[in-house]
Amino acid sequence: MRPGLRIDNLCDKIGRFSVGPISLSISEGEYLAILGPTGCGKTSLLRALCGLSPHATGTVVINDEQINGLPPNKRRIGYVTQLSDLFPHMTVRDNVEFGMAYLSVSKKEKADRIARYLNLFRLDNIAAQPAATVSGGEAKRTAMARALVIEPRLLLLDEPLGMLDYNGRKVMMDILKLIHTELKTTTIHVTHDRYEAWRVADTCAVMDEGKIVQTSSVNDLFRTPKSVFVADFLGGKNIFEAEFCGKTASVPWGAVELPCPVSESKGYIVIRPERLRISPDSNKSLLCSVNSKRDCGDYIEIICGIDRENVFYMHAPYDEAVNLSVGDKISVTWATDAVHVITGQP
Amino acid sequence: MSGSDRPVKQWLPPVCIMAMQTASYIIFGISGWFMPLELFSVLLFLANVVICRILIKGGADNVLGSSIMFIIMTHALIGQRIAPDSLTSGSILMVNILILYVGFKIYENLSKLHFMLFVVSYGILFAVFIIGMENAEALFLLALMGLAATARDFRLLSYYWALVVAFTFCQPYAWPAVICLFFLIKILQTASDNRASATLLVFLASGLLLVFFVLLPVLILLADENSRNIVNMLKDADVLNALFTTAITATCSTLILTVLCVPLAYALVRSDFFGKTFLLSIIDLPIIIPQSAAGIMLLRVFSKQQVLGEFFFHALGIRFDGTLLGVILAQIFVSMPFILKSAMTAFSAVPLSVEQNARTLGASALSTFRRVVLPVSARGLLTGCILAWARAAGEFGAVLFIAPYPQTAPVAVYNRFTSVGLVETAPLVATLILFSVLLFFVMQFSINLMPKVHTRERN
Repeated sequence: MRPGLRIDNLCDKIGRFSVGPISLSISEGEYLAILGPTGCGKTSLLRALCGLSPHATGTVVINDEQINGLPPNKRRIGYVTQLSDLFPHMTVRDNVEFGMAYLSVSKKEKADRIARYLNLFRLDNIAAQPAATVSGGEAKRTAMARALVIEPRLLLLDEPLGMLDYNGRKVMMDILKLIHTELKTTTIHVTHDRYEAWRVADTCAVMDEGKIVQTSSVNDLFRTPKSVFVADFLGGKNIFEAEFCGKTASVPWGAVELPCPVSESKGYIVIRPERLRISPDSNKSLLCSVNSKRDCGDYIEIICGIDRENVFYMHAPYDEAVNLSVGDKISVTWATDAVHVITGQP
Repeated sequence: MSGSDRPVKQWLPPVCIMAMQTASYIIFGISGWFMPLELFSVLLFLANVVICRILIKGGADNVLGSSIMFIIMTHALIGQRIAPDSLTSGSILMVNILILYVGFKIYENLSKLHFMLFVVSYGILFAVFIIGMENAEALFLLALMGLAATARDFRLLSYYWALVVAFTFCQPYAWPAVICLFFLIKILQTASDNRASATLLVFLASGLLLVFFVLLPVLILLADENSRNIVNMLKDADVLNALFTTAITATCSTLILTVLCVPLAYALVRSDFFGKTFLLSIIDLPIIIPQSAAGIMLLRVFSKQQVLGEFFFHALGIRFDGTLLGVILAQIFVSMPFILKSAMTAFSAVPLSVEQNARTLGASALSTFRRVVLPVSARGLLTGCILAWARAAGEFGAVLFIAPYPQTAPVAVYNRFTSVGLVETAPLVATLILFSVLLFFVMQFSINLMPKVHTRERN
């Protein structure tokens, strides 16, 4: 695989807010999701990449061509903004056609390509409509067709599912996946929703306070977060400070068996809430009391008190937990490999 | 009706009225205040006798009949005092009976508010035409008939009152006033149909009254002038020259302003630099400086006797005082803030992110300006140009000082007024106003030709 995009020490400063230094590399055709809380600098990173940020420094290389310093129109990076930002005075078709004027391809090829992309994004029916009158989902699809029709070297998507309802998101995610398999455009997809990242991306990077804190496959990110921030951001709610001694960790409420020995002496352990189970056999488990119970539809969230200070968040299947009530005593258990160890800084 | 549920002796009211009428005839006749044997009085007396008979026999509605008898009696007694002759008296009597009948119908069929308005309207008309004016009985009758015809509907009633107010209080400009008032009423009615709140209606009514009051002279002037005067004006070489000069200079200054100030406005909106706030505030200066002061100022700097003016004259062969260039210079000075401000407003309505999207799609900054920014803000820009043109064409103070000749239309009006007077200037002014109104419509039409930026309906 050729290296598609390489970023070295990209820094940007917008007022008091600063981003970077960020170093990142994506192979050609890869789909990278950048996850991070609101205000962590995701959008600023995208803007710096496509040249809209005047004060960005650092090196950006696409397909062995250095592009930092080029004006945005010379970079050939497709950028789909959060609000779609269609040209309000044009029809949907004219919007899609806009960037074709700057490509040196034949007229016939242009017409073919526009027809193909309108079809790909299911815009045929609304192609003649004024862009300002289409719905949010249609506007988003138009913006994507507009960005992709010029066949950019890199596609940047800023919260592409942000303003859609549940079904709209599902449709859009399918389209994204389909289009990525078809066009193989290197893509960076910025979002704050981990399930979205899980569904569409090959690789995932987590950002916090302007820096990338972890890059790995989506599954690794869930199972083996490198820091407490990543674990917490991805919903690993049971995080406890621990002291390690070989294959056991002592936590404030007792001792926990670890999947493998740890050499450091201090750190944290994480157990994801969906890996906790209610056990019928109370020997190998921990006795807790149900502090609260909330039906979340897919699962039931139970907060179990271990002792006065410490609680477990547990996502229990409906059948197991439906009959519990607050104050009940339950035995909580987990597989040994459900315990993940985080050493180093939080 | 109220009489039907309470048993009243049917013969009592008409007989009482008959007795009262007879008694009054005798008493007033003896005292000399009244002539009982005059033909009209006798007829009215006989009419009441007939109605009284019908009522006693139960041949008609008792309350309505009694009321008619009462009105006939009243007219018989005081009609001679109010109206000059028995024909007028008789007419007023007939119309009053009609009004009584309409009043009964309104009371029976429509709301209390309708009835109240009807009664109050009658009272006001009586006060205005009978008490307030001499010899206005015929008008009173006409007004009463109008009231009877329109009282059943609030909207008709409001138009009716607009007519009455315009023709009694706004003479001799009744027709312009009628047009304004009808327009105002129509505005308020359609606004209220579209569910404008009471607050909005009050805002509309109070503000529009002022607007129409200010615009009324335009209508009056046009209504006063006959078309032959205007045609004569257009044959006058001086007038034609002035119109032509105005059009040429205003167009030139607008073109110069558009070419230089529209891009400047874009730059001001989209860039940040040292002293931007200060620059933005001094742009308004030409609006604040009195026009005559601006004229003197320009003369002080650009006239041929002054340093800068002399430089232009000797180095480039250009002079400003008393030339078309001077007119254009003065016009540019006064219209610049208008075009800058409206262009800036138009440009700041274009979202920056839309422009940036165009950039990432391959458009250079210039291409983005041409393909995205200009079309999206086209309406605002054209409005700005029209404003600037209008301001330039109408400029008087600054132009008068730096270039009284070649004379523009505003200067021509002034010259004519000072040389021949008000009455002779009016046709010229009417011509100018006519031209302005025509141009105004042409320009509004051209704004609608600009690409329309659709917006989604939001609730």
